Amino acid sequence: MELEKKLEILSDAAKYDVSCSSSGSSGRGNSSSLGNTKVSGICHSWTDDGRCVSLLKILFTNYCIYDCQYCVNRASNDRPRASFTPEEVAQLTIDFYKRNYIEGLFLSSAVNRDPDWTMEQLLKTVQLLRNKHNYQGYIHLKAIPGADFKLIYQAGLLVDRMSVNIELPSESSLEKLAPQKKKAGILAPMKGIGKGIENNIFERKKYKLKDKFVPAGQSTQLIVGASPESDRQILSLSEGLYDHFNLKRVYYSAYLPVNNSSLLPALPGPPLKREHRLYQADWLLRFYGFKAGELLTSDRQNFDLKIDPKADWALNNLDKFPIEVNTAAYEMLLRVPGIGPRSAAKIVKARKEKKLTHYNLKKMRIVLKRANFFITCNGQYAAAVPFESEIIYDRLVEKESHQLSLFSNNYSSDQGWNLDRVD
Amino acid sequence: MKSKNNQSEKKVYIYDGSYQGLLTALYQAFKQREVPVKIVAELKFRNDLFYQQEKIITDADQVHFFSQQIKKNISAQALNNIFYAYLSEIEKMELYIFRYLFTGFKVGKKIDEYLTKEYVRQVHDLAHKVKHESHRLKGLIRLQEAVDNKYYAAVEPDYKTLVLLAPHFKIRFSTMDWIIHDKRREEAIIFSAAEKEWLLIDLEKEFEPELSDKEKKVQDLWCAFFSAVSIKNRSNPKVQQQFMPKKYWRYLIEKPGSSRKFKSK
Repeated sequence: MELEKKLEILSDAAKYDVSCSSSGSSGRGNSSSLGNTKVSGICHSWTDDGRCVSLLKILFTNYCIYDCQYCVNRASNDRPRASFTPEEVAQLTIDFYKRNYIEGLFLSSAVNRDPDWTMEQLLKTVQLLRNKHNYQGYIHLKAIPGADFKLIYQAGLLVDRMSVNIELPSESSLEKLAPQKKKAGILAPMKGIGKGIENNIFERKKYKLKDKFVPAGQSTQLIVGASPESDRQILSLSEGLYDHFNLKRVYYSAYLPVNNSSLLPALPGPPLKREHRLYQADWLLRFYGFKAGELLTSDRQNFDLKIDPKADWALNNLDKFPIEVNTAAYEMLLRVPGIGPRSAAKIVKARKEKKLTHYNLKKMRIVLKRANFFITCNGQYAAAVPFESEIIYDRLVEKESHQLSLFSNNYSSDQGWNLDRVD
Repeated sequence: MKSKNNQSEKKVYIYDGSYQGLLTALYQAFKQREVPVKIVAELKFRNDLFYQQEKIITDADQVHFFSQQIKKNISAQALNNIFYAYLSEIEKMELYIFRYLFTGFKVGKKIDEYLTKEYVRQVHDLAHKVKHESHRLKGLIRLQEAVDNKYYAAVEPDYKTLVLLAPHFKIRFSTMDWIIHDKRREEAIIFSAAEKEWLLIDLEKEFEPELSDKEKKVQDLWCAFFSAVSIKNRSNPKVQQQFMPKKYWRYLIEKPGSSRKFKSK
């Protein structure tokens, strides 16, 4: 098959993987190697669906022995199939990288023959890139569930980031929709990689020279809307993964009906708004000091699609507001809807020089559209409405919100995955 | 300060347009305790009958001395900020920098906390815009393989960002020979793998290298990839354009919007 055709098939098959981040790794390159990594990551282009292209995101092969219900590449699906060779992937990466099209490679794969064989192919590819081509750009590699951990570990010493997709927000859903994957074990390699990263950091401190193991950390991805879990379960799962497995990122992917299966829900369209709310909440966990339990409770299982999670939280905790910008702690400023880390840092700096007024904030380009309802400047409250939850809510809701919550909330366990009992 | 009432003493400083020139001009102003009405690059200067003109001659020693003074009495960050703000080449940028330094020499490194002051904000904003564009270009620049294994990229940035891009691409493409050409300013950075050094040179707008035989094939592969990775039922051209404004499309290899055409076919 012609290379261009293969590339079309195998990039088309990989596009549902969300991650495209190239951040977290720095300064691999030197004066005799090709390529380098930058800690902030760099986006090189944006596709027509508005997602950034940072990495050459492809599958090694889309021939699959598994038959997961939600996946386009499931064995029983009739679609064009192709396989690369390790040399082809390496050469393609080099050709694209040299032209500054990409920041690196994101190589994933369907499981062909068996997990070990597939993992070996991936390992061969990264070995070619690092050793033969002396390529020091970014590599994100998928670890194949069920493959020998020695192979995964070897690959981990060569790449920047690794990920294992957890796929669904609970073990029961995975059992239902992807029984073969369940057997192969998803949490075990995740835990192994997490341990490897931790040990590596420790050892590198102790003995100066030691190869880095997955320096940009590991991430995972799950599908939202293909199974009945609530936002609360999903978010506490993410929190668990961040806290116990040392994950860098959890990605959420709105379920796109790519297959017809009686086990899957019929949706009017992908639950994009819900996905968006989960990302917003995820950010609140990682950068704003929120806990999952603060955002959603057993009485409120899902996010309000009309209003962002931070504003939602503020309205439910109106007794903590309005806060005085000239005296409030940085942590509290961060909790004001509309104020992020940048704005909060600006306020903390500028108020050292003089007491801030609304005019000053505006001139400092701090967006007051939402924040106005929750702050005072020198004791002055500037929003032209009474300080009442319902009224502020009406002002904050986004217009045109058609999508409603799709599932009932009768699930018992909070995490859905038992993170404690992993071998 | 000298008397501000006397019209004839009001001066316009004219410098050669270089960063060194600007620093010399600023140094002179501080040294002579003058507040110039304008500091302007030679090329942008239009004759002005009202004010006295003062031509500034760039002086390397003064530049060095003044930079050290800024670092010592304000901060290294401040020196950085004014360099980035200078690269914006925005009108009046010189006076914002002057006032920023003027207050900076009084209050020291705290100057960057004075966010309620117009000129401090302006310097910060300009520096931010320049940094932002330079970061964007680190991703959006597209090299093409020319004959003899050399690589060439054309670009038309809003700001004078080439000098910021050079160190980045130097580490990244240290084993290749390449040129990045700013067609708007008719200058280029040129890097040699053998020398491991880059240089800023003048290069006329019309310069176009001859491309290698393989180039077209790789470009086609890239375009095929670009179309294929887009998810059709999530199409969102607004967000695409927000991150990748149309002004940068001209020198991209891929064609934004091509996956939509691809679909209707």
